[in-house]
Order: sequence, then C-alpha cells, then structure tokens
Amino acid sequence: MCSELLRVLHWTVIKYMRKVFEKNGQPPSIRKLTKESGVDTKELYALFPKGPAKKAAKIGGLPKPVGCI
Amino acid sequence: MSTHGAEPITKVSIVVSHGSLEGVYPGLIMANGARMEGMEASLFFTFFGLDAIMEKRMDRLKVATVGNPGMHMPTILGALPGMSAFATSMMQKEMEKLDIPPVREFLEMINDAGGEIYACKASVDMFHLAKKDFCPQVKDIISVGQFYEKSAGGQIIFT
Repeated sequence: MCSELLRVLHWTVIKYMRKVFEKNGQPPSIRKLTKESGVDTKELYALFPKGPAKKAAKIGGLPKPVGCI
Repeated sequence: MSTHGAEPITKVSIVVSHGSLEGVYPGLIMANGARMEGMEASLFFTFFGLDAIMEKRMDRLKVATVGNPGMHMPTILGALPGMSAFATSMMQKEMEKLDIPPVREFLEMINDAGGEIYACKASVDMFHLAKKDFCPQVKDIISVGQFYEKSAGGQIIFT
C-alpha cells in the first residue's frame, strides 16, 4: 500500500500504535486502541477492514498484537 | 501461526446459553476476537444467556459459587450470603486489569465492530420477554431456523 493512500485517521492510528510499541515493546490491541488513540471502534473497523489492530500493525511495520481484547 | 494450508475460518456464530459471569464472557471474548481477526461474528443468546442482554440484568451478572468445581471451595461455603458477590467483584477486578470491559460495554464494542447480536425466540417466549427488555445492540429476536440460516457457511460454537 502506498503511503499517499493513507488518510489522516489512518496515520493517527498507526502513529499511536508505533508510540505504544516504542514504550512497551508490544503493539496495543483493539481495546486500548479505541480507548486511547481518539479513533472509536466503528471508525477503526471502517479504516482497517478485516482486522484493524492486526492490519494497522502490519502497515506500521509492527508485530501482530497479542492481546485477546 | 502456521496453518499448514488449512482453510481459514471466515465466519463464526456463537451461542451463549448461561447467565453467569463466567458463562457469558467466553462467548463475548470469542466474538470480539473473531472480529479482530477480520472474521464475521454473530452472538445468539439463549436460555439464561438472555440475562447478558437484558437491560435489567446485564450489569448484575454474578460468578456461580455453588455447583462450580472450578471455584475450589466446598459447596457449602459457596452458598454463604455474599460469597457470589465477593467472587464476582474479585473476578471483575482481575478482568479490569486485563482491560476486559463490563458486559454492557463489551456488547457495544462487539456491535460497533460489526458483530451481530440476537436473542433466541423460544427462550424469549418462555420467559415472557419482548424486544424492549433488551439492550439496543440486540438486532433481532430470531428462531433457531433463522439462526442456522444466518450461520450458513460458518462455524457454530456453543458455550
């Protein structure tokens, strides 16, 4: 995927995930993402269909989140 | 994870038939987890599982301390007043640490994630309930036949 295809909100999510990863060594799972990134659950699934946390982590160059929630 | 070329699961229908806290959460976690993996997910609440989607009861689900060998305590202790409330609050604290939301919030989350929530018609009739008794996330009251139709092409998980 080309970076110019990513809109502002996509970047919000990816940047937030990278920030958490730098701090904790683990990317956040969906629950943390929706609580803290400023992007809610509905938006998240619209931005990254077919598994938002998984997909955003992949695009952000991060490992797949391990959390169950 | 290696799947050795096996066909991935793309759709799950999860039946929740118990109304205790420990009876409800596994289904919610599995449904949410399915959506997290990009799978279609629906929840079908039946019998006492309906407590988990009833406005009046969903915020007051309790851990079963009697008839639950997993509690590792004598049944007679589990029957003491306040024991179930105590076990429930302990479990809720542990779940909060893991960022597992309360039932109402969890159902909102699953619904927002595109998971569908249904109530079982036979149980609804048996308990003399109606759509108004349920939280707004409940999409419909459906028969077992409709449940199977909606589950076409997917896996059915009974909890």
